Amino acid sequence: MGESGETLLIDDESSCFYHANKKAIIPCDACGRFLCALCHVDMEGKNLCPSCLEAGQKKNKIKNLQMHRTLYDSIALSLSILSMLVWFITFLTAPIVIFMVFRYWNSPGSIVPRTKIRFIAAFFVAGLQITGWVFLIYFLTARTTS
Amino acid sequence: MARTKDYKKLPGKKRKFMGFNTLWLGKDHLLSVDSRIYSEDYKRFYFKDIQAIIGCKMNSWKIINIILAAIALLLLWLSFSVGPAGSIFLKFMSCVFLLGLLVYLLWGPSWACSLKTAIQTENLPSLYRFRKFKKALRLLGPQIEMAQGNLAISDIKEAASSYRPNISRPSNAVRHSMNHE
Repeated sequence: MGESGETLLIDDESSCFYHANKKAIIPCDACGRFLCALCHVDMEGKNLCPSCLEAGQKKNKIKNLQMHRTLYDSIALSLSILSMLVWFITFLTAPIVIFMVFRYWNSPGSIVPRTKIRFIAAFFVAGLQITGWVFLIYFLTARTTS
Repeated sequence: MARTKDYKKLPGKKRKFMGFNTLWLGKDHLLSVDSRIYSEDYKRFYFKDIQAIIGCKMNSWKIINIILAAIALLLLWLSFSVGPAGSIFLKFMSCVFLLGLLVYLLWGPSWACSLKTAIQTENLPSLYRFRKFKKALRLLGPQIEMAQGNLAISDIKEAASSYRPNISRPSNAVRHSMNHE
């Protein structure tokens, strides 16, 4: 990466997709375009062209280019626990937590090793809250009918 | 399929308000993780780019130890001049401070660590104790040597002996103006 490309001397030689007068040395592993030494980027063992590199960064496909990650498991766990401080809002937050657990279970979490225990704990707490609400509503309706 | 662990944690975890800093050893780079409650920010330092890891002993360890010892002694001294109930309380408090002193002494000297590359110098807050710094360096050193090659002691000595500091002499213009003064 960053080397100046070799100038094309013979017509038979293939040229770089981005620099017509530079000699191609390698194809891009993602799109197959021919690349010169200047355009070739070696990332995570793959040879990429600048546009595939940019696309990979935007779609969060290249791990080594990611600078930030949101921890949805921590958000779900905090939401399930902190909502108990104002207990009646758990009526709303518990389904949201359950949705978050299913929605973000497979989404990329932390780059460094991290278990799913927060998601499990959040699901368990939210499940208990929902069960509590079901019992409360059942108890209240049974009481009013009796 | 079992997920391979790409990163190995290095010793040290610096806690801060609503988060912490840690260092992780990757295949070809060192990853500095700035964790907050709901997100993480990453900085990568490739082994081939690391020029130096600089450690510096801080005075805060010594100062905090002196403060803890002084408070413990003061409370112990005061416990002899009050009634029996107050004396027990002050002696208990003195013991608490002595325990704190012991723990702080065992933690070892506080340390400031930074990493230097050709274009940046970054602080590594997680290596805030000398012991942790040493342990981390023991794990990190071989990786850097593998990426950059090993420099023999004899080569370092030779380079040091052949080094001549470039002491800049005053330019002709400066010398000229000095003569006039």
